[in-house]
Amino acid sequence: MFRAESIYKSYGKKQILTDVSLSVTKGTCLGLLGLNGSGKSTLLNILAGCIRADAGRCYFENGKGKIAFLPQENPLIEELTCMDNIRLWYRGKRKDIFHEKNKTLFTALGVDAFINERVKNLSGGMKKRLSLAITMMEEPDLLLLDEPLAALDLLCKNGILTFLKKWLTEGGSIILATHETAALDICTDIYSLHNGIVTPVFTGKQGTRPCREQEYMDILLQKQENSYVYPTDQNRF
Amino acid sequence: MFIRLIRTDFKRIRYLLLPLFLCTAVLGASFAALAAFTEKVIYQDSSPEPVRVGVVMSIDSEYGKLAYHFVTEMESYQNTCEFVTLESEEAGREMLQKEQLQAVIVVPDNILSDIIDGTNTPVTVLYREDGSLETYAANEVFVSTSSMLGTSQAAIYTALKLGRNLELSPDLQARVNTEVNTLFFNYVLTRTALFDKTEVHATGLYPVRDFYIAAGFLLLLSMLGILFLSLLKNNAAAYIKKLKLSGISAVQAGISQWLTITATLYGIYLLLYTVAVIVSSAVSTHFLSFHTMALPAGLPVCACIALITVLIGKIPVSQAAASMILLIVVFLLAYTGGCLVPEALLPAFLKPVCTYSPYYHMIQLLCNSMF
Repeated sequence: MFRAESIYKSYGKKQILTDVSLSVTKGTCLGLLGLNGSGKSTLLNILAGCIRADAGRCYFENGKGKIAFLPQENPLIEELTCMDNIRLWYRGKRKDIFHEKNKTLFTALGVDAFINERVKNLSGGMKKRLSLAITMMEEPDLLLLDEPLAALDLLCKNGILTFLKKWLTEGGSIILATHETAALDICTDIYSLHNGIVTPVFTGKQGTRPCREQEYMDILLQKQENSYVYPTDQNRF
Repeated sequence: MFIRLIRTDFKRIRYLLLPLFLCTAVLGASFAALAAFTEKVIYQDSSPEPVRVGVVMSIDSEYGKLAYHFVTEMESYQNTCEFVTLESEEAGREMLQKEQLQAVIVVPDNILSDIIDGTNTPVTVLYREDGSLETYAANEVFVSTSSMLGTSQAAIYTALKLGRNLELSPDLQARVNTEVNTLFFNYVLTRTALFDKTEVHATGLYPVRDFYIAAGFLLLLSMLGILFLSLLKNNAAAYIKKLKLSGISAVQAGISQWLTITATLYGIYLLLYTVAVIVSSAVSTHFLSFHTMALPAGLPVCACIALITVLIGKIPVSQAAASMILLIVVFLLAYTGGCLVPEALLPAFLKPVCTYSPYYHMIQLLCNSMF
């Protein structure tokens, strides 16, 4: 289990995160909802180790675990081919780059179809899938995703969600920050982040998510009761 | 990871090779043309014309030939005068009037024998009325030479007189006479090089063209830095973040870029140098000969240019702004380092800071190794 406890972060006088605590276990996905500028990306950056928190700590309960972070922007070098990008981030030996695990990964995300293309010639969805493949090559225990479905078409969204769902069933853990309600399909826990404070919206089983626009707005603004549980199949927007 | 990063940076450079070669070709041709005509474009061709001097003397006699030979072979005269032999003093005066000559020397036939005998025989020198600076300089040479010859003549005469006063035998006196005359010919006349010719260039130890060939290499490599800014600037924040998460700090990423740019610039330098040497050997002017030391000398130069490029690339501005900054910095460093205008011609307030510019040391290194 991964835990983050009492995280504080401020930029100058502006308090971004106040006493943020959360935890994820194997096979669970924690969704972070919040308005723009609410501190979701800052929190993910702190959890990934990109920026330092003013206070608080993050740790795996068993003492070891690997975190992989996929920022909102793709970490790709545009002028190079997908293969060159993969080679840069692959930590194993060059000859092992196409071992069984990676092959499966590339096939599952459909990266193998355009692996020799130059990144700048790819669509947004292809780039996102490539970025995810590169991130997943690290074989993480916890995956941090910042807006993984932003600006993607429905087909691409479904492809990525299917992949992530499968990975969760294999024992992975995810914390994802999103504005996409579709992404909440894979979440087992949903937290909202407002004015630097994280509030659990619900902890339940996968597939539970807010169903009406007003309810979603309520979550973002933390107007709802914390025990609020949303039905899954009604009036989806 | 660091090695993989360097390898990746090299791969990125691969896509810059075409524009790099094109820029090198265009800039190289421009700078080569500029360097070839620098002396005429930047500096006026102001080599002083030699003073045309007419010499009236009989060169039929043995002594006359000898005297003419000695005078015209004197370095002082060779460097300042162009001698024209004249048949008579009248012909010399006529040419002076027509401004075809600036001076005429009328040398008596018996000048050398008179010197040997101790007879004071004057040499007449005629000048044009509108004497120029060159005429004045020539006069100074004549006066100095006459003075020296006069002193020598006195010394010879003293030696001969001494022989007579000591009542040496006629054979011995004849021997002293011969010895003294030999000494006079061998040691006095050959030491009348009053004016040594030394070429002084505004560009220091190196001729203007050589200096600007080296400067051309330097400026070309510096300007190629603009193309490398895409490698330094076109990096998504997420890429830098991921590098950090992989244990690569900004400094390490900078070192990788510096190594990559240095190696690429050095490759271009070697190529450019080889092409320049081949072209030079093919044309008649031979402006650049191959020197082994020029090969390693390019490495520190490329490393320094790459460092300047990387440091400017780290300034958090857009690529266009960084290109402008790089151009301005290169221009300022090259100017203060005496690379555009030689150190000697820099304004007085810049001369003390000249040696602090890396371009000063780079141009010296290139000049030393290339020429």
